[in-house]
Amino acid sequence: MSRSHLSEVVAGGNTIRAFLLVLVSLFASFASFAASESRQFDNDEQRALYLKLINEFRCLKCQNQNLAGSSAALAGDLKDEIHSMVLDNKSGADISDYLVARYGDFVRYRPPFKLTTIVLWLAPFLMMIVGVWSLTRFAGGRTAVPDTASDEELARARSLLED
Amino acid sequence: MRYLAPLVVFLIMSGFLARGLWLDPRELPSALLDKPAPKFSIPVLTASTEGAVSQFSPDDMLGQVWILNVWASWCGACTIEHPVIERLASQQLLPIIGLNYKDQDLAAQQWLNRFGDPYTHVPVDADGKVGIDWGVYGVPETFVMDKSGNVRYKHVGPVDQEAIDQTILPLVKRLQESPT
Amino acid sequence: MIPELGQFALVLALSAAIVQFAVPLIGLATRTPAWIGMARSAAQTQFMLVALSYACLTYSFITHDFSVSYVAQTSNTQLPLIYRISGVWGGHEGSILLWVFVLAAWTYAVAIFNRAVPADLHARVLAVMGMISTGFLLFVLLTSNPFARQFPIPLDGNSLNPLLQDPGMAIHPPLLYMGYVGFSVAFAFAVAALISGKLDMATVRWMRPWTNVAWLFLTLGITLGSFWAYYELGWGGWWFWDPVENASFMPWLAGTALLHSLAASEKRGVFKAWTVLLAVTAFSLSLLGTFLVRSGVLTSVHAFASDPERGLFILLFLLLVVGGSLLLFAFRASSLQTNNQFALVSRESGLLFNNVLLIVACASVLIGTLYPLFLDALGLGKISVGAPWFNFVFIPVTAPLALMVGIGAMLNWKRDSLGSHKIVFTVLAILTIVTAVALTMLLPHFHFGAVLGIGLAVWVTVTTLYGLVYRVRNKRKKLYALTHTPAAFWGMTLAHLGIAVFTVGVALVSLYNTETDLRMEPGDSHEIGGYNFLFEGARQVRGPNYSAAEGRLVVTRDNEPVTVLKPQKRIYDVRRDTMTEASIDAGLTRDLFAALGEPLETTGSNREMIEGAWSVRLYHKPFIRWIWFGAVLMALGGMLAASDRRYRVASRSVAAPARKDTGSSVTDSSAIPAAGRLAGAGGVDGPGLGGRGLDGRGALES
Repeated sequence: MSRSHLSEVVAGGNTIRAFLLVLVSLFASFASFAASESRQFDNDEQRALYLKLINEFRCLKCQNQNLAGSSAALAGDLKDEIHSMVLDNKSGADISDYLVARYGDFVRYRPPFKLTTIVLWLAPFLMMIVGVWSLTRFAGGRTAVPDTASDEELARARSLLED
Repeated sequence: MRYLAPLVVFLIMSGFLARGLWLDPRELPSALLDKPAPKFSIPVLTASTEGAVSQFSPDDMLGQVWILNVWASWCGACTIEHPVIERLASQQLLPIIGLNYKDQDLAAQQWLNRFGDPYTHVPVDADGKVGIDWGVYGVPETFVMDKSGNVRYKHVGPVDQEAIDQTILPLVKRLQESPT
Repeated sequence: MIPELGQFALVLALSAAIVQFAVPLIGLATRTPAWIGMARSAAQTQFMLVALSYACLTYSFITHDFSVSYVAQTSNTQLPLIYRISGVWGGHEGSILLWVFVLAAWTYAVAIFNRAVPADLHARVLAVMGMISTGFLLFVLLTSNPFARQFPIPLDGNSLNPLLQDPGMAIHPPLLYMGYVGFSVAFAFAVAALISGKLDMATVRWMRPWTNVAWLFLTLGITLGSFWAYYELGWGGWWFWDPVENASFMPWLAGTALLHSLAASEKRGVFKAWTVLLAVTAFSLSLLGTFLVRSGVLTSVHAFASDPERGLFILLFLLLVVGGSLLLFAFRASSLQTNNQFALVSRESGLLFNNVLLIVACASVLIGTLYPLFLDALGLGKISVGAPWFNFVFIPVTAPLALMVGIGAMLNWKRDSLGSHKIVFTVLAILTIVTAVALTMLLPHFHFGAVLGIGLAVWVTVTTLYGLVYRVRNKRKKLYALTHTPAAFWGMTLAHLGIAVFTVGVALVSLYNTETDLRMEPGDSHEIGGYNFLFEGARQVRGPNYSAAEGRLVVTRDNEPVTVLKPQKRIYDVRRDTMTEASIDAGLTRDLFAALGEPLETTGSNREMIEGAWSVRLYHKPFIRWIWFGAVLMALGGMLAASDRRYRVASRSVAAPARKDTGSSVTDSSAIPAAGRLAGAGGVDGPGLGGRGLDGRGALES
């Protein structure tokens, strides 16, 4: 039975599962070799760093894709460069400097923290602080809500009139 | 008047958006601008050499203003800009080096035979390493180099006559007149 | 003939749209009822004409009329029928026509459904929508005419971008536009309120179902877009923070804030100016999204044809519509100001907290998206802002939202005290921590991030469910009370549980995702996530308009067959584009994902490909489905809330004031009939005045 036949059978369904199981294990026992990684690493830390980096740098040729998601030739070359630097145990910062020296900050999806990007990095947190602070002022300044519901009723009456 | 704030924010943003319409988000200035160009020494395409030069290095060009034009036979846009480069070369104002990027020697030679060879030298960057060092991300690219070997300008994509006349040649003239 | 008819219909639609906004406004100014009444019939006419025009373009696509240059650019004789129908919105011109069509459809719906709305308000709302229609119809006719003819007529068309030749992508734009454009209704109500200088509770209540429906469509549209990117782009990501994605996400965030502030405005008459501003913002961000996508000011992975002239048109339109309404806001907002008071611990504060965080999140996305443009425009250099920045900012901003969602939803209006809940929340917190740690132990390896992610999800779940229990705690017949809980409350609960499901998906897939890039020869196998992938090689297959290399990977687990994955590398006939068609085995707890890369060392002819090695990408993505499932739950929640019969009952009851309301708000409505009805018509924030009235702990306690 040829290999392509085999998978037709797999797709086929449950009836032949048992038969298939035998085949698969047979097949596994004499023909299965471990596939090699396209880019190999000495250890898991290197692999993790590599995967992190190819996700954080931009494929310059592409519209808006990271190296990981791009199949452009230049992206492949840069992945090779990053890979060999990772194997040389260069740090993430070293590799980032290497790329920025050649392509500028544009290559980084994680913008650097510097004078021109201070607003970018701080604005969200400042907005959050100001927002929550003004909320507490807006509500907290009115803690002296009378225990009667008179203003409440006034509002209701007003809405009644509006109707 | 705090109710005016949203309008103000919106108008400022619109100003930027309007400006953005005339900017090209994909045009990248070289990270090497006004910095010494990365060194390399690579073989040149054999048939195009006139003398005994078999290696090319940017150091060979020290003391003159020159252009590095990155091209490849597989690059469609290169055929569009090629006549412009040839016209520039025919003016004999400065040497033009044609970095052959990630190409096959034979295909590159045939391409030059077919479209003409305006280059002083054609160094061969077969694996694209020089391209990476120079921050090349789209072929064709054109660099203007000064007498001390600094990158002074980079044009990404096909160079047209307008870019030559309005930007590149005035810059070249200025650089040639300056002592260093 | 048909294309000319389509174009003619568009011109007529433009005149109908002009009538739709001009005549009623004149009528309102001169108090002429007949003119005011014109809004409705003009809106209906406009819809019919746009629908006719849209049908004409579809007809040209189906019949391969390549004399129409848009059809020639976007279609091809080989294109299957379904993609000829969806191909109508496969390019710029058709997308804008679809936008106009959806807007006309919403207008039509507003024209026929809101009969209970006072004539003046109704006319104003339709007039505002007519202005927007006018702008977009002008845009189509002046810059993006889909019916333009060309000569000579090409023998065949350029065909549709292969990325769009996919069922998911076929329905993603209509859903998204239904959401985008749907916010125009809330926008129109808000502008009408600014013109008249008042926003009463009834108006707010009319806005709510419209906003709900628009929001749920936008939710589904974004979800589908994310899902499509996952299986179609071939690298297993589900969100990239691409400008085009952000363009749809910003209106969603603002719209979500609007849903919640509408609740407060309706029930308590608070934050009226804020609510109006949010309604303006949500639709403005939809328009901004259109500008960003169509003008090309930002680089996006979705390479739409862009054109500065079109960009300029939309920008001017944006200035007119958004600038105009914000100017109106600047002058009129103070008249909407109310000074209903509430304490720091109250439902109002909870909703305001929600709003603050959502708007900070929204503004952050805006800043991140536009920052490269800001720097570039100021000549300060080129930078990229991508996923690392967005993730860094987004998690701290949105995590408190999830932390508070259950608690905020059960607070009393006006004033509450957490004291009575302290014990319950302590117990729930301990329960959450224990559950989160226990569940994390079940995962392949311990990750502190997983404890946080799962913990957040469990916390959202238990606090939300506690809200449900709390609601019926004093009822004698608990089951009866539960089954008679209004749909809006169930909708809120479902949507909030959706957050929990979504959080689990995001946390686990980002922490436990395994990906590997392999060189596989036929017979090679590789194991990830406990699954063994055996590569059997690749062969040539033929599709309707493409040829492909199809790999075969037999997946087994503990020698038990699991599935066969058949990823493809397609080359489309007409455009010669290469497409990676990933093969995915979906599962509740994991997806197995295979994508074919490049053939390595092929020896020439296609026949031999089966012998060659290929680069193959394999992914094991735990719990990724939960991301979309959570989002779908949110959308379902929105649907339930919008379907609450009390919206309809109450809408009608405004017209017929004698009507008595049903459900838990009986006490209120008997006390103060009209106000009670208003309160009882509640939406997302169920256990409000009505629910509280019974046990005497509510705002009416006095």
